[in-house]
Amino acid sequence: MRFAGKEVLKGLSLRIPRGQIVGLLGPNGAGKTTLLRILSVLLKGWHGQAVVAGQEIGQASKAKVSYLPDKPSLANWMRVQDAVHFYAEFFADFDQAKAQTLLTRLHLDAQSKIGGLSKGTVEKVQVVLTMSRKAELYLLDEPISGVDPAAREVIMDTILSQYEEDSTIILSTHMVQEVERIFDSVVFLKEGQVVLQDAVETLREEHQESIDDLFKEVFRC
Amino acid sequence: MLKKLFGWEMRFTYKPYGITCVVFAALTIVLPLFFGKHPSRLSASFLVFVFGICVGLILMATFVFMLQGYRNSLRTPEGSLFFTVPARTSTVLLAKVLVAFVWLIVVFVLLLAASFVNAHAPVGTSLQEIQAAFWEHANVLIPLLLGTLLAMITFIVLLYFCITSAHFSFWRKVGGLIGILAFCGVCAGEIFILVYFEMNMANLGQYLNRAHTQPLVTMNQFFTGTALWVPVILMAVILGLLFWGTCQLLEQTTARR
Repeated sequence: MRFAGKEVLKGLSLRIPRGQIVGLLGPNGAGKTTLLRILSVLLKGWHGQAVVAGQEIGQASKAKVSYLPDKPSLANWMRVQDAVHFYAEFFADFDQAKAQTLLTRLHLDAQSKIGGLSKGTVEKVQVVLTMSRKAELYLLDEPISGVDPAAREVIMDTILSQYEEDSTIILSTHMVQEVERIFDSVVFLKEGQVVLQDAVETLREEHQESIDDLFKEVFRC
Repeated sequence: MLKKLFGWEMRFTYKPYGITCVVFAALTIVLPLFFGKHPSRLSASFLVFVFGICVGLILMATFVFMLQGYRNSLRTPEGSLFFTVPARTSTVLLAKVLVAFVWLIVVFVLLLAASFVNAHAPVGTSLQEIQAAFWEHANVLIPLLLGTLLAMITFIVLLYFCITSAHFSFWRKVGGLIGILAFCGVCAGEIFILVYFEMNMANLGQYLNRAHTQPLVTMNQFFTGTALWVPVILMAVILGLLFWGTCQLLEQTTARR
């Protein structure tokens, strides 16, 4: 996969089992976002094969994938309620009641305008929308970057509590310490290539250190 | 899916277009109607002056909104929202084209209404006179009107085609330039095809007359009959090709950066 003349993903081969929470870890520019955008069918014109839940990615796979982008994708003019309606209209697996419950639990006002919300609050709204779908694959791109520690906790708890046991979550981040507790396995991505992939417990036992420390070791400049 | 996409696209675009249309209508329809009753307060030449400026502004604003709206849908995170829904690229594109077309029609109707009001106030042309004139030349005006509508959609799709071309990663560094070149190229191509067709028709008519052959139809009959439909069909073909091309480019490029 080339991007602006530079090869971003090189010969990447990855198999992620169903029902896991996978950490896609790597420094900036490792290709995490590119990989997630490919899987969410936002990025096209690449060469290779990607299969989600036994189906080649394309228009049909969009219905199985719930994607949380790294930047807010909700328009500023929208109210939170509008965003909920948007998801309800387009995604058959969207649970509107669940979304309303989550909004109330996170003290998010459905009548608030997206443009008037802080970055952390918009992030919470997007997490609510993404996790209110009964998708087979959740792609969460940097869900906690740029938000305060309190909001990070809330976001991570929401993801954990709302995730369906038989679905898969791929969560990309470079803030490993905050999220490593939720991972079943991790994939270390460096310059578009997988440099390490294993279960979290195995890695901890083998290296006798936390995933955060291992991350620092692998990606030390 | 198209209906839903259309509805949401309308909600995404109604503010800038709506405000512009209301301001335009206020300045070119309500104002002349109000002052038309009090001619001493405002001169007809001033109304025509205001009308001219307003027409220029609304056309420019419509063009900018159309350009900006589509560009944002390709380049901003907000735009990516539509590309994550389970719909074909062609359906998403069609919804965008239809919404832009609806707004163009609104602007077009407002322009017609404003033209009528502004023609009626200073010149005194009545609606009945305009209607009579229309039906008198209906055989020319109907294909012309259809051609105009097709040209409007073609213009929108051409604009989208050029923006998508400019967005193609292959020539990212000179993207804007590629867009402008593509726009000029397709416009020149369209004009060439139409002019070439008209010239050939004219040559054919001259040849038939010089040869003292009895032509099947006279030039006037031909142009007000079949010939006027040919550019319409050509325009439809160009429109189809541009739409297909834009879909292909969208399939090959990214929905978002």
